[in-house]
Amino acid sequence: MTDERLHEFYEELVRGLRDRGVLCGITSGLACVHFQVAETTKDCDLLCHDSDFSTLLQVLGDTVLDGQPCRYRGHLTPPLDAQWHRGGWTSHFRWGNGPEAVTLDVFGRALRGSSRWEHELSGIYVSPHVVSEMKRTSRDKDWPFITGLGELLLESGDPRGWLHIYDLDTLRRILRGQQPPPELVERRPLLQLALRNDGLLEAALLAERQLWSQLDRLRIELYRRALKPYNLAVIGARIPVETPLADQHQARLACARTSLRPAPLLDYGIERLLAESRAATEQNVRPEAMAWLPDIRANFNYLKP
Amino acid sequence: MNAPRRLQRPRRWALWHLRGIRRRFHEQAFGEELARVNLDFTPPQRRAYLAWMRAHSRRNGVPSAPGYSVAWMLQLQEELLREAGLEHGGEPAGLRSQAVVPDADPGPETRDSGPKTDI
Repeated sequence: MTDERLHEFYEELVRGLRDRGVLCGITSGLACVHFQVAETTKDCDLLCHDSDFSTLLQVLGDTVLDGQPCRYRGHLTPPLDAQWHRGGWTSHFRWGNGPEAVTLDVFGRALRGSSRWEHELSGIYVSPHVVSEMKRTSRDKDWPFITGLGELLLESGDPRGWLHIYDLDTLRRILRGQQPPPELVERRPLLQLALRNDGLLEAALLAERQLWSQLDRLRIELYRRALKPYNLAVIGARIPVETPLADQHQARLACARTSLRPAPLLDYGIERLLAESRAATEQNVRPEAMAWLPDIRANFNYLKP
Repeated sequence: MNAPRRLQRPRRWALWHLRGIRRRFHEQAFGEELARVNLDFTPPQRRAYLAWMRAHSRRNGVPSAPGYSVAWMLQLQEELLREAGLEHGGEPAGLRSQAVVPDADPGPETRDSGPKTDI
């Protein structure tokens, strides 16, 4: 399948889901392409409201692509079920095998999202603000995309763009033409440094980025640990690869009930995670920059019921 | 943080100022060519360009990487298979009835030679 046809396939899939009343939107790489920050990914990440999972599963089960049915991807993929997605898990699907497989990654919650993604959709995509928050990972390549999305938000008149500018020169240049609203300065303290052209700004930007990276590393470590017993359970269940998606789902659900903790991050404790991330950040940044880190508790609201 | 109730588009001068900054950032962060793709191309043109880029990469042997949300799961899967005494692309002795091979791209040199991977 050509890449262009693949993109059409994803868009048609989402439109079809919308027609059936499913609340969903494309996020991550394909959303970045749509929002003028080209990323070369061909994978599709989909945010879907967990109350619509049964319809989504049914649609995926009915969708055949080039003669290939949809199947769960790997034996580590958690089930598409609200109980686990509310705890921050994701589910992964594929049509076909190997490097030519067409894949779909489903999120029930926008990881790191501070607002409800379903309240601000942009056509078949989620908003640049949501995409930008979800991109705050430990992966270096994500950070220029975040700044690019922040600029787009400011251009469209959404002041939340100020929360996403991580490039020092860009931040300084924007400030020559406009100023951030006070509520955003409160939300992101380093904007005060930017406003008074303080020399600590660069270190504070690096510290903030470092904090997000550490949080993401710790998060993945927690979920990795929680996934191991589930993996063994799925292997033990011996689910044949040709099993229809609905049956694969039931088998995974049974494995998850016995072996997959629904919310490893909540079990661990958000405050503990934040404290450890700050401590890890402190090892790598100028000590005086630590005072300018934002309070990011709101970015864990996605784990609330 | 919730979206503002009303978007206030910047005034003409401010918009011009922001667009200039944005282009400069894109040129610096992604290079001049991608800056043009991002800011001057229509969405279909942008998608076509990216499709060409991916095809060009594939032709030159650049392996495709799995998406970020699944990459760590696949890595864990590979580690667990290795712990179980299986190399990448292999199949556990006790699991002949099911394919349990990771779907990370094995790379161009092995793409057509190894067992057909599932997952």
